[in-house]
Amino acid sequence: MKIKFITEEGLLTAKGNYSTIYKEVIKKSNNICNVLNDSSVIKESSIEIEDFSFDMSQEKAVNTDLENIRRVYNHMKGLSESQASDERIWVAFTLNQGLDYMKYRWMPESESDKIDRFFFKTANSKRPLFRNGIARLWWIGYHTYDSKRINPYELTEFICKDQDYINNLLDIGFASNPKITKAVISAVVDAEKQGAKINREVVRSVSQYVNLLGGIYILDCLSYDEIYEKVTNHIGL
Amino acid sequence: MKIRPRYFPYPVIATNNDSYLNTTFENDVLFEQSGYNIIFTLQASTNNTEINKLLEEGKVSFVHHIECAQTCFRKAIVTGDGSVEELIPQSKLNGIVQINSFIVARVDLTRYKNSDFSQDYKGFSFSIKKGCLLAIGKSIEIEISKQKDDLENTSSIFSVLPLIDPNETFIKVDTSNSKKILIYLPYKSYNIYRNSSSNLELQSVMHSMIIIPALMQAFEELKASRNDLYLYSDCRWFNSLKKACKQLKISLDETELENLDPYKAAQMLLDSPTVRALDYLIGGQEDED
Repeated sequence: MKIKFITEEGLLTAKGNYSTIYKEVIKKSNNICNVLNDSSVIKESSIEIEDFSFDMSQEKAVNTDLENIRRVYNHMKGLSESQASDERIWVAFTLNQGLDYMKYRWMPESESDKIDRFFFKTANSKRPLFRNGIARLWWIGYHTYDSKRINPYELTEFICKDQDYINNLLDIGFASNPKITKAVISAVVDAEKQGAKINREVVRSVSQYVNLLGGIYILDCLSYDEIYEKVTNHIGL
Repeated sequence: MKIRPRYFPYPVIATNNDSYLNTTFENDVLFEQSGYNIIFTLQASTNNTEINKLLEEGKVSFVHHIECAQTCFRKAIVTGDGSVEELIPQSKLNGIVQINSFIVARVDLTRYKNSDFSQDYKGFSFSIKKGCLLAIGKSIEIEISKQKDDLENTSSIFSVLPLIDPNETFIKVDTSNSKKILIYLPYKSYNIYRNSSSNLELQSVMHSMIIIPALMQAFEELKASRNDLYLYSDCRWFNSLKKACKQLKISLDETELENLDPYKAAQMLLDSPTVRALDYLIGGQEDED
């Protein structure tokens, strides 16, 4: 199938008419093209991917995050960073072909609830990449997929254990550079393997520590091994 | 990466920092598009003899940190040269790209001292660890406006859009979008607008009725925010408006905005559509003499 996107005009119309979108599309599952009275609001890009569906098999929707990261990232790995930061692709998912998944995982309780799971709330920032309900699956995959590991999704498995891990290790400053993210998460995962007790407090402290390091060093100048070693020493084995 | 003013336990060359007496650190960035890539020319220099010697010895380096927050792109270019070219595929960038330049220790510097230290540091030496900063240059932001958009082409700083709810009867203007000024029309009006927008003869009428008031609202907003224009630095419609105004010799800066006449400026930008619209409405009877 070809990756779809919502037109710029369609996106702005949907945002400006969110009340109608909430009532007609999200709550009643009406097709967005019919609601916006424009059959061409969702278009096909030239980017071809294999068809896939979302996992909605668990009673607790959060427990499908890992599997859905695998599915989204495996199928859409070919997207460039620029394409994957394009709101139009992800909104076509959240309000069209991924709507059932969105209702399963991020059903809003009111009109003002979880808008940032459907749209990008801010521009020129990486925040929405980890907030939008489907973009986040790709970007968590992008930052944690490690082809050098026997199980390339090992770091993803770790981070999906707790939403707080995702917030602290990805949704913050240093997460812009995959080399740094992977070095930090690898150090935590390997420390756990070697017997260190890893919990929310430890992960938060690692996050604070790396941010602190970023105030002293240009982290991007440090090698993977140097960052890995500093985090390992911080956890203390 | 936003560099905020901060204190260091050792002398650092930076703006508003008097750790050194006469030392300067200058940096600049030039960029050009080449096919599907952007070529950045990153420049940096210092007039400090001892630091230049450390640069020659490879003990310190210039580091240019390129970051695009929107695409999670970060790269540090480490070089001893005063000017270096870096090619980055356009597919990795989108929107605002921020470039910060530094001088960074590449090895642990023990007993670092400098003859240009200010009086406060004269006679002291410092232990500076590998990766620590010796100089911080000015932060430079550039916008990568893709000529060839990934998915579809977009143009204009305005988007005219429908209000679907039939109870909506007022036209709304929204300047909070970072790309465009959004004009929402009640649904029926929107359809009339859409059907007429391809009619070039009606364009001046539409511009007078719909675009001019929206543009005035944007100018009014900029006037009110003239002391905080940095808030609009990431805003594409503002940057485009600024360029268009510059061609008309109107500068959208703090001083000129204070005295700006929004109605006049809006008319100038759209080439007096109201005058043309009135001519059109009375049947194109213009004075020919």
